[in-house]
Amino acid sequence: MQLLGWVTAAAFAPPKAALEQDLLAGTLQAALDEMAKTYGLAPPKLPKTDLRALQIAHTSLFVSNPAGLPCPPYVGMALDERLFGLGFERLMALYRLAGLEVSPDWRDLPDHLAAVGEAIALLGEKPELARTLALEYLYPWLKRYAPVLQEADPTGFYSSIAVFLSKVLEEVNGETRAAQLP
Amino acid sequence: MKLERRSFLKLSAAAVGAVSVGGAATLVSRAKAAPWYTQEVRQVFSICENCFWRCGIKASVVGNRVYKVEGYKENPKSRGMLCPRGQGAPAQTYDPDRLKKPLIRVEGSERGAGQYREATWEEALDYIAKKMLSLKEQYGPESIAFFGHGTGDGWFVDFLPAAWGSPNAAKPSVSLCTAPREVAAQYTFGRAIGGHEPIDWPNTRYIVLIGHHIGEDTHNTQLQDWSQARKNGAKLVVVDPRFSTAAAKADRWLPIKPGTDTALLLAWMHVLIAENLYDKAYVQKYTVGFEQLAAHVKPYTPEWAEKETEIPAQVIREVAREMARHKPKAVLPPTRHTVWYGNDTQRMRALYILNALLGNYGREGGFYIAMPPYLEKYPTPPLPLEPNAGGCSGPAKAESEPEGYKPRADKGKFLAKSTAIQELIEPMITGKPYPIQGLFAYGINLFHAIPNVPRTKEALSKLDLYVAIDVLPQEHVMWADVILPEATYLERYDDLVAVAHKTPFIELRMPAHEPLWDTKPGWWIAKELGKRLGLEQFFPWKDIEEYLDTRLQSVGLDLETMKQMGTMVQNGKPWLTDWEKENTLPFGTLSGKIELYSEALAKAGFDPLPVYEPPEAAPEGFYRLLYGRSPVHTFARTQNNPVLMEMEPSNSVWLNAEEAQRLGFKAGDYAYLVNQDGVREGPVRVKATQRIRKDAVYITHGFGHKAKGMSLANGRGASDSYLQTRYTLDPISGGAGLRNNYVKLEKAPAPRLKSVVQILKERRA
Repeated sequence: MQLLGWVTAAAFAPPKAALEQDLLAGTLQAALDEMAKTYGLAPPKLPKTDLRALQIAHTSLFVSNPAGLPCPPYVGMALDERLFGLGFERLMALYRLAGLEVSPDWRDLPDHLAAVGEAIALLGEKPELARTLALEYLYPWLKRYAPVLQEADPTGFYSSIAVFLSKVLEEVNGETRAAQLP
Repeated sequence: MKLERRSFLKLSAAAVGAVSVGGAATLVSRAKAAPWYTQEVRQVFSICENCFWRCGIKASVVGNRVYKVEGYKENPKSRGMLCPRGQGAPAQTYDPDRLKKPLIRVEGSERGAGQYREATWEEALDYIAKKMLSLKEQYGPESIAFFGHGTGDGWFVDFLPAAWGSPNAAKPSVSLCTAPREVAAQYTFGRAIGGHEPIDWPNTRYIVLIGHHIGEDTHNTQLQDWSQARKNGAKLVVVDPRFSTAAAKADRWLPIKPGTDTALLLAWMHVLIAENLYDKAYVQKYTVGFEQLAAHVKPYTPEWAEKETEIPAQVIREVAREMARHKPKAVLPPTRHTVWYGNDTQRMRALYILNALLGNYGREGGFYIAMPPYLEKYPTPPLPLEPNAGGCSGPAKAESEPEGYKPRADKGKFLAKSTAIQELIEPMITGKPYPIQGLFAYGINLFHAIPNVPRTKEALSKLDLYVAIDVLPQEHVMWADVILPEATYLERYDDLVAVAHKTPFIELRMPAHEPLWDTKPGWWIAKELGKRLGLEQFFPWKDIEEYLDTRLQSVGLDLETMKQMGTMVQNGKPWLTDWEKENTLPFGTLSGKIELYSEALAKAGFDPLPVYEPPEAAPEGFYRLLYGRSPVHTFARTQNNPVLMEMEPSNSVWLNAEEAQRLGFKAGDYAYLVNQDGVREGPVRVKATQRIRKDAVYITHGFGHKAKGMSLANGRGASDSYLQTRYTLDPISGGAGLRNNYVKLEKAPAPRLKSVVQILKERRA
């Protein structure tokens, strides 16, 4: 779950030098390969895309787009169809419970995908809480927006990661349900 | 394999070594949040931004959320009440469509194609400054124009351009709204009317509204006072081609033929003078030019006016006599939006002269004399230019340019000293009288404010630099080279608002919480840009709190005290008697009196007394396009606000019921509106009604957005602005007369849009 968190944080944060480094060093691809192995899935092959193209795609998919923003990157949008709804409030309560605070440098909302991903990663020692975050907050977003990304992502980078993460969480969800059966 | 660590979140010390929380997490994830009002609620004073009445408000805040706003009694603009727009305004701050981060247009992409990349503020401001300095080098500082609208616009249309050295700074609230009224007031009274129209409503006994849509252009305390006037028994006459909300409350509705108002005003003057009904003592004491006026209006009999206005002569006479019976407590209030047919300054002069004949200026039940509050500027070195964008207070004083600086690019096209925003578009295309190569647009919707949208788009496509500072991704914003996302009114300080009023006052806007996303307040943007442009000396203050505190010291206050008050009220001098006690008069005209006959206009080559010009006739098969306001929306600013859109999700086109029948439209059908130049708008719902004349149609302004990034606003209704491809320039005020546009109706299918109510239901589910 920790790896899934880091991949989410790395992939969906505004693309900067850190992502470029991850891509050049192959660490993001390696993380995806490892997750694929763990869950018995085919690993996605990340497209070769330069940082500039990723920045343009990220902006048009997640930040601002004159044709309408296809994928608002906030889990609350998938849960509530709006910002600051009940799902957002619950997420904040979970953060508080987990002792998580938003860093002052983070100039975005705390239910941004990247922040939720990082929260999942930081809660490596609290796997149940991390699973709750992943299944009840991240997964609904991926289910809703991964198909949209498949249509709208000009690079293929975001869509391939979103589709893959969605499949991983489908597996995790299946395992969790199976474990809950009497 | 190790991924680079991000740091958006951090674990607090309390969490280290915490026990397993798995079960609790599940409970929390399904729990309902506690209601906001059971939590620690902060009260913060601010100023509403959902219209330009600028009501003082008190916001109830929990954490980073404003849950409620209300007026407060001590503020003369709200007096403890707030309109729907004000109540719904906080929703804008939490709009998912907001601009969230600075954006730079992708190099090589076409302007208007909307390809952007995120940028840091440093990068965005450096980019702008570099371009500006290069344009200055090549063309001079005047090659950059600054347009703005809103409480925060002072930084971008007054201060920054004056410091930078460009005279081309303008607001739509001047030449697309109040210019004729303000310029006429200057030539008649030598005083501004101003943003808080100075009518002594509660004491008036007889009100005549001409094209004044009170109740639709809902200004909070104005509506409160107007209601009080009616409660106190004031009679109401409404002159309007449309049976407006105000007309529905009136004792008389005069359905005037559009564009003939000056004829009616001249006939009323004729009756007052011919029947000796005017206030002789007042006219003798406070006015000049009565003899010329009497001779001038002699031919304008009610019978003559009936032919022009289609209002019966007998009714014209009766209303004139009723006005006279109630003088000086009879008043014809000036409306705001006065750019109608291009001869509007003369019409407004006629309105003021008629008021003067009733002896009501500076007297109870008429106009009070509004005084601005005392408040010093922040001490800076003298700015190279005098701020000249104007605003609701009329033309600024400065006319001559300091040596080395060019005049405004619109100078010479009209008489007034204020800037006409629509006249600055042409130089962007033609380079004449000199090139305008750069543009700042702060808070103004270029496509929903300035007529002739195709021309504006052409101008934008030719610029070397276009910067938009805004809150939402409106159509024109997504054409910019650099988009700077501003913090909303609930997230920022602005400069102090000083309101000329019966009791002059100063009000404070302070942030209710930190700006969301990577947005910044206008003052910060202006200061940071100033620094990069080598204008540091004009921004000597450390931050806005120091700036505000210094200004407040000049009235014996400080910022901390003002934060607890919200509003500071001063004493005014509302009546002529207050001035006479000091052996003076308030009139700033050349004669020192109310000028019925204007020597200044005569010298400038204009009619010194108002002359009626019949309106241009509509082309065969077309209706005159009239437009107005909605009580729950403001301009084109609020159509993405879920609270307000739930109340009014679209406009409709008012069409006379008989005309509708003739054309085969039933109520609820949809139509396209096609103007005289072939521009098509809609589909828009048809409202077949007896409440409008047969020669005109009417829509409310602000709908018909084409910004797909504004998910609620996009595609709903029709835009009057897009249909206004023509305007008639008022040669005195520079106002753009917009009512010489015509439309015909074509049948249209109902739009395939999810209803706003359905969208909001889904959001709440």
